[in-house]
Amino acid sequence: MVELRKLNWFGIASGVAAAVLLLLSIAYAAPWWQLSIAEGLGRVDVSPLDINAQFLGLDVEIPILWYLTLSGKLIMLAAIVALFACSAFPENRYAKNLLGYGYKRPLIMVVVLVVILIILTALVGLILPIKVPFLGGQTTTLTFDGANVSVPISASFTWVFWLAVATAALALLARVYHRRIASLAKA
Amino acid sequence: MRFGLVLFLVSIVTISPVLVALVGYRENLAALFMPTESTMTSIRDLGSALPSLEYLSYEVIDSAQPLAVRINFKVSSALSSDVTINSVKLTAYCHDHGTFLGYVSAENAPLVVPAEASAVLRLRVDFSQEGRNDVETYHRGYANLYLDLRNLEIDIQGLEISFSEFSQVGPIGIPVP
Repeated sequence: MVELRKLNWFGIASGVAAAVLLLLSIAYAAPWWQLSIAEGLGRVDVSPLDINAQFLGLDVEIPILWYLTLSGKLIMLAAIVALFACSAFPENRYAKNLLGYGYKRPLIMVVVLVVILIILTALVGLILPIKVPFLGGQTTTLTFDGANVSVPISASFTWVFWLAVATAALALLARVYHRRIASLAKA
Repeated sequence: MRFGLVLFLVSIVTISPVLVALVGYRENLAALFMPTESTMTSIRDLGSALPSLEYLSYEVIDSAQPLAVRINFKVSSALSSDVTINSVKLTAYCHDHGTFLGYVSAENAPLVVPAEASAVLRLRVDFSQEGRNDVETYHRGYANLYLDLRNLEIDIQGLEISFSEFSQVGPIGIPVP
């Protein structure tokens, strides 16, 4: 019988939020960060679970992205299972190991995504004659056959990113709260 | 200890897609990190797919004063998605004499050019006094007016494209009123 007061509610909330992130990815490929080129001429949707790019109606496909995001989904699934299991049975002898595995994954995903985006947007600006903002808007002017083309590009985090941040924060709280439950159990 | 091994195995399983990809593409690792061949072909074809302008016809809206002419352009797009021309701004000059004829505005902007199809862009030239003088002196009653369209600024879904010139549009005949 599970005692309600001994449940790790932060862990359960984190698991639910992570499950929502995974479902949003499977159902809608919901991006955490979005780059828009002009008014719908191009779009790059990025999250650790899905990466999609489209320019002038053309889907840009890079094989490694499919494998990376599949890995992302599996990592998220494992983290969800671990968070639920350790939160529902905090006194189990393996709960600490499960929590140690589960609480870090959402945080790592958020941090790695932000770091990679900062590096990639800076790299694109160095390699190509185009400025890609990490956040906010920027206009680049290119010249083709005597024509000047001004390309407005804007980038922003979506609400799904903030849900991911909340998931990571709840997972961290679950880690802290687990110690309290452990001391309760000893008492 | 055994449970640590289980978690380690879970970690391996979660990154297995990347390992599978690396093994599957071991003969040509670059292909794993590059756009697929079909994407590259589409990117190469993108240049010819971009919307192009082609002079189609003209109509004299008002042959007396104030003089105004409509120029029709065929806008063709081979892109796989619709494209919207938000606005067009340009000025018209007489090709023969370099006279400023007047400002040009788009009558049917915003104009949606359907995917892999074409649409007609209607531009209206409202002649300036200088332009009317040029027409009266050199072109009235003849089909010999050619326009040089300069300072073209086209807004295609927020993408601002500016050309220096689109020359020798015509011939346009201005009838005797």
